[in-house]
Amino acid sequence: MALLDGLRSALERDEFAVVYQPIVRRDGPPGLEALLRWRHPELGVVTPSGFIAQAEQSGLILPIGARTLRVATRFAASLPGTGRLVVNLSERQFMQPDLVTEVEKALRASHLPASRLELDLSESTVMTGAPR
Amino acid sequence: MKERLQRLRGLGIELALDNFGTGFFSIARIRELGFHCLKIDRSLVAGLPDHAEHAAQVEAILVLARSLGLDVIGEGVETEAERSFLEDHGCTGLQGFLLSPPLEAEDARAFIGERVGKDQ
Repeated sequence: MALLDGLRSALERDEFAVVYQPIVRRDGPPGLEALLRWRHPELGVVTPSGFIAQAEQSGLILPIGARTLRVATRFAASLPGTGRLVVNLSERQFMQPDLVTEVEKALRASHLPASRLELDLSESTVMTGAPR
Repeated sequence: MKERLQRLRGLGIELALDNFGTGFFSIARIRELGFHCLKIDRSLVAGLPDHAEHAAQVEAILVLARSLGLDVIGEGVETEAERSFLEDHGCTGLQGFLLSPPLEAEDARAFIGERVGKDQ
């Protein structure tokens, strides 16, 4: 419960930050994967493994994820070159009804060409959603 | 699922399948669902090429992915041995601490800027 309250106020206080891990490609310019970090006032920097399950369960992942997408696309659009930005989608994000609109909005607001955005879905998300 | 993926593709973005190799997802369906890329999970990359079972699995993934025209990124690359195994077997991209840890925005900008400069 404490974690959940913490996540809520973290959103309000803007404690979530995005860091970027380079991806080096054989046939193209390097890209960046957007990774979420929680700059906790007492615990310091917390990686998603420490809070993502709670965020997913409570649905807070939706506003957190939407914010990450907006921040990361804006940043990527400001970079030189044509490297791709990678953003991860959780299962809940992928299943939400207005996902496509949200992605469209982030692209429009940031002026990032769609071809420079890559969305990553984990194998487990695709396996849950796909009739086999 | 398929329709949802197609609508995303319809925006002109790319789709990648993350953490590949941790479940039993059929590689043949990846293309059908509109993915252009798969990412080999770090648990399979760790310890290559000494871990014989993982080495065999990664090799098989790379052969199949190439035949389907998919890009493959190796995740969590931490050693030169892992890097050369992946590169030698046709992996098209690498990510991990060996190449770079996650960077603050301005450091990431410098990383990209340096490489864009080199290409010109």
